[in-house]
Amino acid sequence: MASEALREEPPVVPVGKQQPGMIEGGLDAIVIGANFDGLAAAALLGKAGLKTVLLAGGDASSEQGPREFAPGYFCADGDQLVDALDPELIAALDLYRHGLAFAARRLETVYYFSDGGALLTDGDLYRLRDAVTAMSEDDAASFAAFSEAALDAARALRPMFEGGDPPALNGALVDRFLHGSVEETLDGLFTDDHLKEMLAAEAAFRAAARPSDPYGFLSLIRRWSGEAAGLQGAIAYPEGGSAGVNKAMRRAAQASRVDFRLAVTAKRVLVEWDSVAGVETEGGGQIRAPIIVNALSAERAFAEMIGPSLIDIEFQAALTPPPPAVASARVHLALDGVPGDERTRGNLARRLVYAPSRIELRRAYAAARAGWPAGEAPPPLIMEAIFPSAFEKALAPEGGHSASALLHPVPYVPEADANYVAAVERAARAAFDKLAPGAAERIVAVDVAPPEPAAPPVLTAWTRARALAGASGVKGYFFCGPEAQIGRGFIGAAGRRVAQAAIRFSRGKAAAA
Amino acid sequence: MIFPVDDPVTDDPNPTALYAAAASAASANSWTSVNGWAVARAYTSVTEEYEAALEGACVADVGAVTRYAARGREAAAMLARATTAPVEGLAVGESARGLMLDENGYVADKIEAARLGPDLYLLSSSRPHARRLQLAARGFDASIDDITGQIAALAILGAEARDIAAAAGLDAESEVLARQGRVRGVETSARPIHFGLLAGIEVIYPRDEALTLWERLRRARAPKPIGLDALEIFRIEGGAPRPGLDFAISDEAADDADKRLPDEIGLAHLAPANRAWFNGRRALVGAPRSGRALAVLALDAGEAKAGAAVYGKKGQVGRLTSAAYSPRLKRAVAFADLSIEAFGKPLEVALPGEEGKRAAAAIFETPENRLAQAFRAAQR
Amino acid sequence: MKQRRQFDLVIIGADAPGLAAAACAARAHPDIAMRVAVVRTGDEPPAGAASPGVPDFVWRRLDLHLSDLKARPVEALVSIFDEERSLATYQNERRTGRELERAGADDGRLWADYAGARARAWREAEEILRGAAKGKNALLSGLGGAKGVRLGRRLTQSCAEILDDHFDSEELKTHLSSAALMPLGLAGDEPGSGLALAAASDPAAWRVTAGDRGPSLVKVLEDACAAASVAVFESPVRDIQVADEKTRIVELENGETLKAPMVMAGRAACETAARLGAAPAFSPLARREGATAEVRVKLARPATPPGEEAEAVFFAAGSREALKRARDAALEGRIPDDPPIFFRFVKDEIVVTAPYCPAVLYTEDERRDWSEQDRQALGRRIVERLGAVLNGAVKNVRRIEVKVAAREAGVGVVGAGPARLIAPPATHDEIGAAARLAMELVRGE
Repeated sequence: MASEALREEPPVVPVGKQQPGMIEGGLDAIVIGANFDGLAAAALLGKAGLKTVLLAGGDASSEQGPREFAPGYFCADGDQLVDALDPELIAALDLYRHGLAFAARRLETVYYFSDGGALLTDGDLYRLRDAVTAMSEDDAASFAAFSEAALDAARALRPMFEGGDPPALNGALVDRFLHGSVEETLDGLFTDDHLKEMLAAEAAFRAAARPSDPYGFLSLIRRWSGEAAGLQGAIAYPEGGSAGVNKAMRRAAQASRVDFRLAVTAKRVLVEWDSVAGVETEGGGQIRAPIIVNALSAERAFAEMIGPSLIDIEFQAALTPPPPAVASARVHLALDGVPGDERTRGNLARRLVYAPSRIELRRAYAAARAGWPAGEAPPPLIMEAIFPSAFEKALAPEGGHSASALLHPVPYVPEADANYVAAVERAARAAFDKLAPGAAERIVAVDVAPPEPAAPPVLTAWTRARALAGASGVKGYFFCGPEAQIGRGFIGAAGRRVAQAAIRFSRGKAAAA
Repeated sequence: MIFPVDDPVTDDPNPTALYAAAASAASANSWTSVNGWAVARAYTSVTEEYEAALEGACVADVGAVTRYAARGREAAAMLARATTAPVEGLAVGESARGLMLDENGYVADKIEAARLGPDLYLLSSSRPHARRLQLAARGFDASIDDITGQIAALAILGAEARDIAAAAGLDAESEVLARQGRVRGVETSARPIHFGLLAGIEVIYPRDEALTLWERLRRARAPKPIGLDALEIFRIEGGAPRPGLDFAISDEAADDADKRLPDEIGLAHLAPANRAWFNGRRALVGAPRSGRALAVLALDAGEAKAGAAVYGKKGQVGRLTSAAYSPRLKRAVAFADLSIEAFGKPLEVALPGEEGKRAAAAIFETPENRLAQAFRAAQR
Repeated sequence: MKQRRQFDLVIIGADAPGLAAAACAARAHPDIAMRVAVVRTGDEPPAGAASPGVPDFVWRRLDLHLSDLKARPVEALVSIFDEERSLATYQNERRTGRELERAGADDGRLWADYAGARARAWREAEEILRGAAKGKNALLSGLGGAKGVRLGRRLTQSCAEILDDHFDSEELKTHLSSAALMPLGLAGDEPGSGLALAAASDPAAWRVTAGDRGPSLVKVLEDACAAASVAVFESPVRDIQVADEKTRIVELENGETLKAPMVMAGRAACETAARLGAAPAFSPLARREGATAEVRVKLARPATPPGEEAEAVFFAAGSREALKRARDAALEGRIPDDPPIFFRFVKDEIVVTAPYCPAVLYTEDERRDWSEQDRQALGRRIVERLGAVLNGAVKNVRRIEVKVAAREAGVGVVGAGPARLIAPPATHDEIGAAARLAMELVRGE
């Protein structure tokens, strides 16, 4: 209403003395949601000299350190590995100075196949062709051409995977990478089953699309567009696991003088005229600022915190994604020991992946989508496993080891119940046995985390991210929730991009004034 | 009142509630289809109907206008979002005109919203918007239902409209307020409306009673039925553009360049960007202008055809989108889609018949124009 | 003595798409007449069967307005559900809307908005997708700007998402999914299947039947081929040899051999094409996995189609869940238990298509190809299913012919490429797809 715009300036109270019914001003920006992207955005805003407050959004905080899941065995929740952490973000915040460190870089991967075969590959994708040549001479030439084109395309498409404009690109394979399903793309390029299974496992891992679904292959290119420890397509294990990455980000935010107020939960975003004016807190007070960055889900950020009466009808229609069809399950395993042979010892510092055969993977998706009929053993799944205790001794007791595995695809259930936990545990044990025969017997405890929804196809995610970036035209409102991120894992590009946009917005306003 | 788009391609239009009555009065037997409903273009003769309305009153079957009933605690908020009408400020009985805009600020339709009860609103639109309203209602404690097929709707238009309505027991509460009630057991809503130059009453009542009220009206004062063609003259004289004819409906336009913003169809005053939020308002502020606008032209000729070219000094500047002969002005009046540079400059319109024949034309000031100008002045 | 002939293009299968493609290819260049041959393999649909609709560009290129063609579109697409309930959509959108409104108000009212939006979506997406089919990186450039977000949404939205967002009636959703997805072999939850709904709004997606008077479409196209000097051969195909990059040799059962730089398979010769290892041309729209079975059920006397819709295509999917189950089964190498089918009545035959069949079968983990027993088992299952949906109207079955066009999932081919035999992609607009591909092949695009 016009009267709101004409209202006198609200009384300003000093920062930090938030009380019910009180109105607080004098701030430049508010960030809602203390997740990774929220922290990243807050840190960048603070670093740019904006007086920034970080509020909780009523979501679970990812601030926990290692958790003891069995006596003497510790694990960190959430992502264990880093493969696409935004290099610009690292540079802008100097995250290495704030404690980001890698206990292992350029992790080698060992792929295990359904027929018992295995393949050790270098952590450097540019050297992947050596392993492929050794495995399949027929495909050596086409793989060399493919990996070069794919890595080039991945690098060129990185801005798009961050939610930006699609670049102009040429190359016979690029449209194919964009349109193709995992299976049809691989079939068109290679003949060797192991090679196809290995790439299919990487492309389908954590993805909602079945390997036969169109637009599925792009997830591999998305993965390869990332970098870890400065190397494209590589994978690294951060010191302190996922908590280590979060901690470094939090320190960076603190160093840039972000005011952490995680005890305060934002309830509603105040929109006055066409711009944001601040937030109403759970306690009934108001915190006012001309910029709000929201790192919560799109549904919360728009439909609940702004409300349908202030957002465009067409925009609202694009908010609610269909429920995820499948998920990934994170499982922590406590092992009271491992075989002492050289191969096993070497593998402890590697990333192990079970790559199912084509028919196994098709069955795995069908079963996960059908919700794993009770009583039936789940079919073989893709599994990625690492041994955090190999990098950080303190995570397991002397002689023991902790393993962290991610299984995909599993059924998506909003709440993990006992049946789900039991079935996932069963699948994890079966898969683990394929990676390290005999090791399954040394499992003394299993911890099953709630399912993580699988990533929608890259183009779907990109389209949604682009639509949400418009924020329905509300000025000063910036969105970097999970829907703004393309792919899974620590990325932070969404937080970095909105922070940059918010800083531009703030400077534009200052210049206009 | 909303003037609906006609769609003469429909093979088999549905009868409106008043079809039987209209058909028996329509000796001219000239019909068209509007939103899939059969509507008479003329009952006897266009000029006769026009003059009857001008002098006394006439009655029109407006069953082809799409009607929605919005109910619920948040019905007003939902309509205020979906349309530009100031729905939340309406008192019971009041009506407001407005537009429906899409998220980019382009006009999707013209509408009227009337508050019939504390939590009951009537939305009239020139065409159905099932999908748009389905989406608009999400997240609100309100329901919106298409009631077009369940009601009969007639409009009494002209200077004596209220007298005639009163004689039949159908009068509105006042010049601005609708009356809800029962007339001999029949639920009715009588609402004051304006149609171009004509004031009148719109009566909406259950379909089953369609003929009862029509008969009662006929017995009371026997107003002459008026068809679409005569109404078309009043519409153009009144400066009310017709969606789908004078401008493209944004939901249907194939090309963004065909879509129009409120000010480009001369209806900026129906979508004041300084009012409470409505769909598309934020986009409207910075939307790129097409450089074209609608205007009503009065021609120095008795005949004109839609589609005819309009010329300025340096060549063609636009074309007519709809045209009619006005018996009152003794000349053709027409809506024209013009380049904004052509406004205020001498214009000529190509005439049907001989090649190269043109008539001088001048922009004709309509009541809608005056509202738009007053609005612009207030904005400054 | 063997005859050897040289052509610019050989097309296998003389059904309507094959003939239209041949005639269009022969006239692809304004000044040079291309040498095109069509092989009638005997796999063609029975006389009197409905043909795919003719898109405008084919009509123009072949000057079909000069013919006596009196073909008229199939009137309705009808889904049959349990307890003899059925639901139909008509070529006339308004009629569909009216009928739906009669059945259940809200969905019927939404129909016009839904149909209009689909048609606009298809218009907008078609051009870009056609560019992408030619390998021009059209998709990436099409994704720029506000239009790009719309296109991206269209490409990745699933049919299920769109229908659930619009309609309430599960039967309507099943019907729309069936009509749009079954010809393409999609299930409705894969990304991009939403576009199939849009593509199904293309007028050329409607099949046509010959009028009572005047020649059939196939006859008219045969005349067009004759006028364009297309050679017609009548024989099944034995094999296709690749002599070198630019020479394919088609060996016919009757001993003749045809030489051409490119060989294209029509829809009718699908089983032959599958046997010979045809690669489908790339289409962003049709992402069929597995195989399609065509079953011709010959009856002792003509059966009566249900309802009054004699000129209709009937769908029996049961539910959207069943479509998904069937596609999952096909992906897993199983023949679905209750295969979704669509069929037409042609004189004393019922021509049935079962679009969700596995390309290869798996028993436990052993993979094997289709055997005669598998075919027969499928045929029996389909006749059983037919009997169930038609409520016992299928009596006196004289013969069941089963053809399975089995191909493995494979990447679509862009241009002629190294493929031995190229097939048009599965689409709603079969004539258009075949004609477009044939013209691209002779033009060397």
